[in-house]
Order: sequence, then structure tokens, then C-alpha cells
Amino acid sequence: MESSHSVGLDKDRCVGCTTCIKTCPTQAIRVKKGKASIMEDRCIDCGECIRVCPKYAKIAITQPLEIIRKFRYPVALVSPSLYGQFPLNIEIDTILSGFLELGFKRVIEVARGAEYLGHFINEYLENVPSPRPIISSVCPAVTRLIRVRFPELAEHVLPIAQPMEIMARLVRDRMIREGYPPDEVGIFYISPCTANVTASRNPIGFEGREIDGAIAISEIFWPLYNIVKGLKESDIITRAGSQGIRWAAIGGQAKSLDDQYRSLAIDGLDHLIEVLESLSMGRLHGVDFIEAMACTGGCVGGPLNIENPYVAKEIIRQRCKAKIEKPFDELEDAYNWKDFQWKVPLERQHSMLLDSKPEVAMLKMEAVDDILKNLPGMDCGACGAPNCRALAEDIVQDQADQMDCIFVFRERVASLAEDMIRLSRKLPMALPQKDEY
Amino acid sequence: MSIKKEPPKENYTTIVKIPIEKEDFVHAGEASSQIKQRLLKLGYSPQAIRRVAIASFEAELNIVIHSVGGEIEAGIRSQTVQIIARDKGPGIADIPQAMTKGFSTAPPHIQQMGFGAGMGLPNMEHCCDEFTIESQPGKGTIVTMIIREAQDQVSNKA
Ligand SMILES: Nc1ncnc2c1ncn2[C@@H]1O[C@H](COP(=O)(O)OP(=O)(O)O)[C@@H](O)[C@H]1O
Ligand code: SF4
Ligand SMILES: [Mg+2]
Repeated sequence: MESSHSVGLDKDRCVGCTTCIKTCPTQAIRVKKGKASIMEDRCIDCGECIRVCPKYAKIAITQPLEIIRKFRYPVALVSPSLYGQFPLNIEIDTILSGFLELGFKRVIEVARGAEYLGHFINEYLENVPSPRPIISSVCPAVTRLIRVRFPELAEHVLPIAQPMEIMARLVRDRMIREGYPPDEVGIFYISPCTANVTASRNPIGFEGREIDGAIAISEIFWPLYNIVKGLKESDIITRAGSQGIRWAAIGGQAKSLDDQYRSLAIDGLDHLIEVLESLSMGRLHGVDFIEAMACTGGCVGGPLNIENPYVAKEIIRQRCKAKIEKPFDELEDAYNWKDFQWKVPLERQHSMLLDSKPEVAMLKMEAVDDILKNLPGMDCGACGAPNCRALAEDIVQDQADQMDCIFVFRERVASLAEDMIRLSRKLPMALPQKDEY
Repeated sequence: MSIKKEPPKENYTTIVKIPIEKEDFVHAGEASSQIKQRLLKLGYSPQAIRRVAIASFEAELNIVIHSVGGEIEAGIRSQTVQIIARDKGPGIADIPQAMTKGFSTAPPHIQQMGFGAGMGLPNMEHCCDEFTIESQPGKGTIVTMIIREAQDQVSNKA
């Protein structure tokens, strides 16, 4: 069966060191029989484990560049974080033109979608009295985290398509209107992260998919660079201004808000989890918008980039220094947030549930607490679960055994050894007893 | 035959019980967060979880700010969550006054930290289906809150 996720394991490389299990924000990884395995229903595709694995055994499941040949009219949907990967002397126009040489027929800037969305967020804040603050849904790892760990905050999540999805919908519509045969148009997202690879396949808030595949920035960078460094002229002129390009780094979304709105810009899942906890307890007041990005530095910190996030962030900043504005044309001006509103509400994901029957869940929770009393409470991870409670839950769910705990195991061995010594002293009466020697 | 004055508390199965220290702002939120995680695993609705999280956090804060220390206990019984916040003093002399929106005796340094808006008790009451507060000056305060499933959503009163 094909996994719906974008993070996989290279079994040969995995040494079962348990490094990844602790950093997973949804406790979705276990090491079993010496290999890491991911619980599908908990994984949010944040790619945190790809980043920390010392053996490079956690891999992104993306597509090779050749895949675009399957379509007669391949379209590149380019994440603005790509602009942070190239040295400043290579202009954005040139980078985009390189895609045509690679065989793409059109190049679409997700940064333009960011500008539309910035406009929609202001519209939404002004017109919709939903609970504040609104949490950005631009980062799909964040949206999935909320589904799994903070379902009580679902009503805070911005129910509008993310920039990549907006642009995919628009370009497909336009090309069909222009007479391209729908089957021959293939839209490919050039992605900084696994979260968006998954979102391109299973968009949040919509039933069907508009994007045909996702190619990692790390996959396309060198072929593109080799073309781009020799390009004398650009065939493409950037349509996105600084405002949209800034979304590649944390703070970009907040900068698109009208002055009267107060916002927080949060990068890194650990920081975000703290803030969401506060919000959930009713402790966060006077904030209208939370720009929440899973990766440190924002999308420039995505696990499929090649440049260091801090360097890439600075490159983006430099590229935006000129504050280029590209006003909307008449058609663009007519778009309304409702044109891109989610069709499917954000449903909670039940992957943390102990049991679907409440009474059984309660019995299991009591059993977990009982088991926990016998575990050392050191959260060492040697058993393959991220902490003692997770192991206790796995035991209750028949997914693990008490003996998986090295401390319980050692105690059992010690007591067996004592028993053996005691037994060895109790030789059958017919034999001469030890102390008679 | 003896008559029990308190409701038969043993009907609730305790899921979290943790001591709360006076002026321990660093750990404030721990009880609320633990209760929330437990309810998520037990399949409580997001709406109920939100109300419990807000109510228990405010209760926790009141023990941290206004009391000499106490504890939070959460229990469940078929689709119902009970949160009890007990402390060992100093108690509240005038409960109706304490319940008034905006009333607070929090000292200035606490208010500077962003607490003490005098909305805690009113918010707790608002989040609950049943709310009782008993207090004896000199002895301590017990707040008992009941939250049932399938209630209308409360939104964040920011
Ligand atoms: N556990 C408690 N012990 C003593 N006094 C309390 C306690 N809880 C609340 N109070 C009193 O009630 C007042 C109002 O409480 P609350 O509505 O939570 O507002 P705040 O905590 O912002 O002051 C407090 O300022 C305090 O005087
Ligand atoms: S912050 Fe950006 S790069 Fe990182 S997971 Fe979210 S969308 Fe992807
Ligand atoms: Mg209070």
C-alpha cells in the first residue's frame, strides 16, 4: 500500500539509535526490532525527524525531475524559499526562466498567491467575527498539528487555501480556458518541505487535488543552477512583489497585515506548541493573528532546502529591500477570500485516542497509570518509545511489552539469577550438600 | 443513617491530581495542560476540552496568585468532567464581591505581569455547567466545577 505521507525510512541506514523518537511533536515514531517506524495516523509530515537523523535514514518521499515528462504541458509552482537558495547575483527573473530550459512550459510564483492571501486575511479579519486570534493555515504541518494535538483550536484556523493551492487552482482554470487539454497539464510544486509534498497530494480543506506532483528543492537545485548560471537573458519577469516574496521567511505574513491588527510570528514547532497551549487555556489576549510556521526561520528552514536557513533568510531580506510593489490587475482585484474558502472544515484527527469507547478508554488509562508505577520514569527511550508513558500506552494497546523496558528487564534478570542461586543451594537431599565439601 | 453533605464524590474517577505551589508562575498551566491531554486521549469533544482548559487554568492561577498553596483535582464520570480546586487559605471573605467582573485584589507587581484583571472567577463560572465556591476565611477555598459534554461552544473571550 502506498503511504499517504511524505516521510519514509531507508531501512538499511537506520541503526535504531532512537534519536528521532524524542523530537517528534506528535510522538509518532517507535523503534521496533532495531528500526524506526512511523505511526501513519499521527505523522504530520513536519520533517523534524529528517533533520535530526544522524544516519540520514529518514527520507523525503518526493518525485524525480523526470516525472514532468509524463505531461505535455508541465507547470512549475515555485515556492519563494527557492529564491533564498541562490546567490544574490542571480536574479529571481533568471531563476524562473531556468525552469523553461528544464522543460516546464509555465512557471507560476507561489509568492503571488501569498500576496492574494495577505489581502484575503485582511478581508477575513475585517468581516468575519470568528474567535481571535486567527491562526495561519499557510504551513500544513501546523494545521495537521492542530488536528492531532489541539483540536479545540480548530475554530481559530484560517479556513482559506494556502498560496500554493490558490495558484494551482488559478493556473489550471486559466489553462483549461485557454484550450489546453486538461489531462496534458501537469502542475508540479517545487517544495521546501515534506509537509507541503503531502498537502499537494491531500490538500487541507478541499476534496480533490489540483497539484500533480511535488519535487524537492534539493532535487531540482543543481540542474537548475547549472542552467541559470549561464543564462544571459530572462524570458520571465517576476509578477510577485516584495510583499509576497517575504513570505519565504518568518514575519512575512505578519507584514502583510493592515496596521490595526496585532500579530505574533512564531517559528519552530516547540515554540508554537507553547503558544498554542496558552491560547487553549484562554491566556492569550489582544492578538488578532498568529503567523505559525513549523520550521525555524519559516519556509527557508524547510528540510528540503539546501542553503542554511539563516543565510537563506538574509538573502530573502536583501531581495526584498527594494520594496517592489506589483499592484493587482483588474482580474486579480476581483478575487475575494470566499473564492478560496475551504470546502471541508478542519476535522479533529483521533490518533491520540486510547479507545473509541469512552468506558474502555478510561479502563485503559487506569491500566496505563498502573503500568507507569513499575517503569523507572527516566524517559530514556531505550525501549523504542519516546517516554515511559508512551511505552505504558503501547503496552496497553498490545503494541509493546513490559520487558521492552531495559530497567524492568534487568530487574527481572537479577531476580531470576537470585532464584537460580537459591535453587542451586537446594540440591536434592540424596546428594551430598554443599557445605559438606 | 448518616447523611452525606458533600455530593458523592467517589463517583468520579480521578484522572489528574497535582499540588499547586504559591507564586509558582513557572509551572502554572501544568495541571490544565495535563487534564487537557488526558481528555483528548479519552475522546472528549474539542468544545468540552476547551472549556475545561480555560476553567482549570484560571483555578490554578488563583491558587498561585491568591492562596498559600493547594491542589487541582480532575475527575470524570460518563461524559462529565469535575474539576476541584482546593487551597489552604487565606479564604475569601466576600464571595459575591470576588465573583464580580473586574474585581481583583492582585498586587501591582502581579498586575504588571498581565494577571489580575478580575475576570478569572466570572470566566470559570461561564465555562461550567455547575459552579460552586465555598470558602472559610482563615481556612481555605474550594471551587468545584462541572463541565458536561454536548454543551454549546464557548469562544475565546479575548
Ligand atoms: N483561591 C483564592 N483564595 C483567596 N482569594 C481568592 C482566591 N481566588 C480568588 N480570590 C479573590 O477573588 C478575586 C477575584 O478573582 P478572579 O476573578 O480570579 O480575578 P483575579 O485573579 O484576576 O484577581 C481575587 O482578586 C482574590 O481577591
Ligand atoms: S514552515 Fe514552511 S517549509 Fe516548514 S513545514 Fe511549514 S510550510 Fe513547509
Ligand atoms: Mg484569577
